[in-house]
Amino acid sequence: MTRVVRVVLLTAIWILLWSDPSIANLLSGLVLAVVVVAWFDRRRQGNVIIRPIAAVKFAGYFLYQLIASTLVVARTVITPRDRINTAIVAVPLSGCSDALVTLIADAISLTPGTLTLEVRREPLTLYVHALDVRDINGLRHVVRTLEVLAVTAFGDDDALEGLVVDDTTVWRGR
Amino acid sequence: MVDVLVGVLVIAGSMLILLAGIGVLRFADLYARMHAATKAPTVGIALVCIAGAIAIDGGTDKILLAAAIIFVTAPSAAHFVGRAAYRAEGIDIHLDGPDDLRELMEDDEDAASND
Repeated sequence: MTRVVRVVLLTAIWILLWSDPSIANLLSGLVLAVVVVAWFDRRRQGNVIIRPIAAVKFAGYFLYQLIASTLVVARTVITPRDRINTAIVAVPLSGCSDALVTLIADAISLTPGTLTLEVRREPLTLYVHALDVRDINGLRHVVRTLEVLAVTAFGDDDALEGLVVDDTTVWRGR
Repeated sequence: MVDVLVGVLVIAGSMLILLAGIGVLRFADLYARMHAATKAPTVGIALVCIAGAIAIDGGTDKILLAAAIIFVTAPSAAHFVGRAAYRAEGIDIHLDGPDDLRELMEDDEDAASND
């Protein structure tokens, strides 16, 4: 099922790139997509799960963060330097698959003012550089919220069970 | 009406890109500059792309695809530049607050020298 979705998506991108939905483009796109999907399927692990409502929540929270922090960084640029307070902060996560960590790290890096520098397993921790960290717990809270939303949207059952929603229990182990 | 919307989007997007340029000049160290240079323009380019998609007949799909690909590649590029900069020597990094990564790197070096 997910393979079919991938083939359709890749073919759609192929046709978009040519800007011409002709039969020839459709067929060449299909052949390429099947080859690419078959090739990469051999080294793929885990299944893709999408819970639509939770996925919309994740996208909404991400968009909100994106716009809000874009404005904050824009304001930082035009106001005096005292708004800059950089630091590298370790943010522990409660544990999820590689694909989800990638998603969370990418979401952080896309959000202005925060940048994922390093990822460590055992215990799963993101090292985030932030432009303004007078509020370290606030930063951690944003990352943790992204994780909770990402796992509820795309995580498998194991990740969902291992998910710690309460922040205090995550910090205690460190 | 559509023209007004397109104009607002283009100007807002361009302003963000302009601010990013000012940020690169004003911020002191590599990471602060990266925040200015790689992030705000992502949103700025997205706004300009949306405006273009509305205003230009034909090629709308290509413009939106370009915006999507920028959104996918920008964070990876930023992550790798940031990661490399931390490990490279001779790059000034000013941090006002804590540096949780320093301990980790020192642990790694200790582990390596014990082997």
